Amino acid sequence: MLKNNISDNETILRNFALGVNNLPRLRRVYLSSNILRDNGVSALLSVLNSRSLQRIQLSMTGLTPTCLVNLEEYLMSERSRPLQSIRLNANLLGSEGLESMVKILKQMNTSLEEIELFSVGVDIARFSAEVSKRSSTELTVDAHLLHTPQYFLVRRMLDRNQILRRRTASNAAQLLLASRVLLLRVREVKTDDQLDSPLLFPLLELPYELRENILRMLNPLGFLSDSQQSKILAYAAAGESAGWAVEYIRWLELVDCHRFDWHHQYASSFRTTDPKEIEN
Amino acid sequence: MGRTQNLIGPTGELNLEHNDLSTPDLAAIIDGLNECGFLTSISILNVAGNAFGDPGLELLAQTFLQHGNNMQLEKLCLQNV
Repeated sequence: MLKNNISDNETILRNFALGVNNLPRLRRVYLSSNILRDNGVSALLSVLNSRSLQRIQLSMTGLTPTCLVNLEEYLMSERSRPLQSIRLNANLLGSEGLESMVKILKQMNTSLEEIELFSVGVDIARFSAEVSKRSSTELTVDAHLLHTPQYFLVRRMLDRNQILRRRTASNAAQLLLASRVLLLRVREVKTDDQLDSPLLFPLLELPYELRENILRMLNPLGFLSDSQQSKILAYAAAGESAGWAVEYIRWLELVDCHRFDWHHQYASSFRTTDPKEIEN
Repeated sequence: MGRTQNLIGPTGELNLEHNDLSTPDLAAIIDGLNECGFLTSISILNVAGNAFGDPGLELLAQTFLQHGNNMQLEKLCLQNV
């Protein structure tokens, strides 16, 4: 039987990435087992800038360490902000592939929670043994790598990313709740008795800017960036509704809180490789 | 057109995996779906293991560029399986 046989045509792969960028709800793209090679994947990643893509599969696509520069550039940029999972199995990335993931997660990326690097030709002799711990996030590598420091380190940083994303989402929901009360003014028809009675909630009489400042203090740990807070406050004040049928995740995407914003002012305090530091 | 419409499952999945589809086949299916207004309601497009190669990928790219904004597509399977 004939197969898809998508090749490493850079122009077509760039166009395809532009098309993917134009799909507002696309979460998963599977391109495994096409011979895209280093140049094809590099072309694809150089243009990919989806606001919704959470998972990409590029297993068995003929990759070598040559593509790691472009892979790092993509995974450390804002363009990969929603990406939670990448599969790179059965590519000849070697030890450089695992070291590259360490670098990406250590320096910048806070969105990845799952990485698969099974059968990529990692040289065990380069790594010393260390006991790893179980975790809820996923890093799939060959069995002989399960006790290496690199595996342990990447696993901890994937945990960190998962905690940051969850904290961002829960803080966003908390802020929305309070913002609805303080910012959304519902028109009421008051009776004569109510006109003379004091307000039950005097904070509502404060100027809008002060109420907004008070709400921003609900983010003392800094999981939400200024930009994310502004989007939540604007959403709350406008009285918009995502509707019953719309998933929670869609609302998070709408206010850009489906990921931790690595570039905001407090982000450096989360530049840790130990997820326990964030939990505490 | 009617047959194309019937390809879509209740959850919006269009599964055309291993159907030996060429680029003209893919183009006809996309045109049919577009004509009956179902193109935008697909949530999963599985065209893994077909025979359309680069021209088919270019066709999909142009379709997404033209209609993507209104599409509900969440999952795209293009594996060479």
